[in-house]
Amino acid sequence: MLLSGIDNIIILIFVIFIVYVGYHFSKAVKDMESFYLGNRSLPWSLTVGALVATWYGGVGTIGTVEYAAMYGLSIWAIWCVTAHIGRMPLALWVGPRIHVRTDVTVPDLLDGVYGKGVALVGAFLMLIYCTQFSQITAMGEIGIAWGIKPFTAGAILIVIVIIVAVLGGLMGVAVTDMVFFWCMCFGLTMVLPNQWTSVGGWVGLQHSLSATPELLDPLGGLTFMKGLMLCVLAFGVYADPTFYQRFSAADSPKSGRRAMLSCFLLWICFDIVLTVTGLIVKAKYPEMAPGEGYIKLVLTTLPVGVRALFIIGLAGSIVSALDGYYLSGAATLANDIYGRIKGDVSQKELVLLTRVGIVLLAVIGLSVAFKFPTAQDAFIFVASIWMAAGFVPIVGALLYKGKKTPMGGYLSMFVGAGIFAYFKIFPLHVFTLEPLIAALPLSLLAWIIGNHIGKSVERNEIREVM
Amino acid sequence: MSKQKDGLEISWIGLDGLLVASYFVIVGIIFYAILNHNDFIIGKLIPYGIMIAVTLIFINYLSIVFKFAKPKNNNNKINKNV
Repeated sequence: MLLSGIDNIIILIFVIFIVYVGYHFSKAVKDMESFYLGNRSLPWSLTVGALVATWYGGVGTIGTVEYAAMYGLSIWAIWCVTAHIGRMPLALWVGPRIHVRTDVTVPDLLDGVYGKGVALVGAFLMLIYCTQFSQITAMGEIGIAWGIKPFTAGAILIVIVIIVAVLGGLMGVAVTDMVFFWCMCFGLTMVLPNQWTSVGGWVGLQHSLSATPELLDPLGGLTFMKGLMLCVLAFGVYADPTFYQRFSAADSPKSGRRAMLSCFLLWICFDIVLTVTGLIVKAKYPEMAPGEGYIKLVLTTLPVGVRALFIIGLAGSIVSALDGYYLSGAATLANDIYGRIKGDVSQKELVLLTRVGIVLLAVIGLSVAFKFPTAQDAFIFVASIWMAAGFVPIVGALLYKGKKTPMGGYLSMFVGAGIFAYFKIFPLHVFTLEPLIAALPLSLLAWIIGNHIGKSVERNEIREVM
Repeated sequence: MSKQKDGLEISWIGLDGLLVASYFVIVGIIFYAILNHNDFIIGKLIPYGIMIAVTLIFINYLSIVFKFAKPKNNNNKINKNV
């Protein structure tokens, strides 16, 4: 075990605090809007904390360190910089427009533009995306801190996630997110200054990584196809349900936009910290799996008590991300699948079903999380499925003002998902082709063709806002 | 709805524009540090800058919670914009 008794006591106190927050906010939950959108009352600072904590999670932290150890500085220079620039229109135009809508979920949008059938297919695919088992994979790597098996670490994590999300809804999740946000950013960043000195700065890194100089080349490391796939995948946030949930929960569109623009400044700095930390892990533990090397590097160098803050920050980022996705996925199950099929469902019934859905998603996630070698691999798999099917119809619904039909929605989803599945099962041998890169343009083509077939069912209130 | 739609306008000469421009300035500074192998920016300025920034945001949040908890403000919805 790499943690001392004092570290574990601090962590235990923190877990009790988090459970108390969930219990406290459970008393305020009256209907779906208070449970799912926190009554649209999140101030700027709370929206920043919720966005940062939810988006990073275990994949954004441990996953970035892992990929930086494998692909070097190009992870930051090619992937991170491009990804955030590509998301700026989301903060400036798309997100604020979503905020003024009365709808609360992505399937609501699909229903309003393409009709009930497309919304149901979209809701089912979104449910798979929201399992986010890559976060549990990342938690398994933290298990080394206690010397326990990855599955056990994942199971303990799931119990905490369920307690916070089931009891407190978004308000409980947002408040714990804020605490996790600080622990994550502070705890993971405080490691760098000493480690940077310890490794000997740039000169020391050049010496230690002399066998793999491409890792220190901002444009080396990543292959063209891998870099392209990661950049394209970064646009997946345009179809990310938790993003719209967090943005809609801000107390005004202006507050949401400025919160997200502030996040970009934090993210791009935090990304370089994680990237450089990954290079230090590679330099110090070249033979070790990067995720495990990262935990070992930190826990064997930080003093007692401070190590607890690091673990809280790391595990907290995973809890935050899972809470957000489970909340969105379970709301999809209750509101968008059960609610649409059954018709008239009471608010009390919806909240109960959402809580049951959270438990269901957690169990599914835990059962598949450890079938992938790294957290980033698990994330890329599940995010690619959702993006291949959902990106074109969702972004098309948000940004394109012309005619859109149910056939356009169906074709883009089925063609995108089908092409992704085909190239995943039968990869090309002539050259490397990421399935997502093939799926997206064909999904777009199918969407354009499909929109010329049949009549538009788009509701007027959707057009007025867009 | 009209009040909400006012919030859709972007103040390019104000805070929105400043935040967008700051992103590119920070990216430029980090690229400079990478290309010129600057130890201070990567090893000290960026990490300590993050730690200070997130602590300030956290304090801002705590101050809002503290104000919200006061009895005289109980009827007011939290509505603090940047």
